[in-house]
Amino acid sequence: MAALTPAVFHVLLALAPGERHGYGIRKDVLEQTGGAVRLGPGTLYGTLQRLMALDWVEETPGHATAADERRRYYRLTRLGRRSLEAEVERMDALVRTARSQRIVPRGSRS
Amino acid sequence: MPRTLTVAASMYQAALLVYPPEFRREFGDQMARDFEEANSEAWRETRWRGVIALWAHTFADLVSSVLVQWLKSRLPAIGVASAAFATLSVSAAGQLRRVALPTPITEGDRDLITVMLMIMVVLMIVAAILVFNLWFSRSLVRRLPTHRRF
Repeated sequence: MAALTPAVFHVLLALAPGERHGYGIRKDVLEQTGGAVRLGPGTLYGTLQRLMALDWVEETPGHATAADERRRYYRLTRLGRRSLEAEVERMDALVRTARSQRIVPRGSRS
Repeated sequence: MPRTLTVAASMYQAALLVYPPEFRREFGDQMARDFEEANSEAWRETRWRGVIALWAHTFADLVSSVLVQWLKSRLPAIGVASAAFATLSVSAAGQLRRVALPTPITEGDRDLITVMLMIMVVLMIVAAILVFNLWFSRSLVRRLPTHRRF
């Protein structure tokens, strides 16, 4: 399987623990990456649109309240979770290969 | 919270009009809601420094994502179809003229005819884009009640 784009990977990862609304996803991605990945609204919703078309993410019904009717919640589908797991496996294999070549993160060097 | 932030939120909401209608209908309200919340948070945390950084980032995102969304929309297909339709129509009109008026064209008339043909092609492209766009929009509106997932 081809590597996922960073935006797709981070959105899927943010949705892994459970459903989130768009702004929650943006904040989670910012936190997961230590502020390195800041998804703009256009990029985020464009990514969600793509993921919904692929059936990797779906909108969760029944969350809109009168006070917050513009909020919509999203969650991973089974297919989305499988794709995320496959990507993590791919990355894990890459890291193992790198380690076998004695390439280690700077923070881990003694 | 300063009034400028409320004005900025209204301006952002207006700027969302540059997205293709389908995308705006699906996500416009959420994007406007998120921007308001991000503005309030940036103001609470870092005041103007955070707010200005947020605006700069949101503007850059708007420019790039609008382009992507229009490319994903039907506009390129409509443009190509319209150009093909206009070129075919004008060349058919040229053939008809040759059959109806078989007199040879003088050198002076040739430039005039070329300019007129070019104007006709442009007008036909504009007209075809309008017609095709209207046709697509109407079929989109008709589909809307069953478009939502729930």
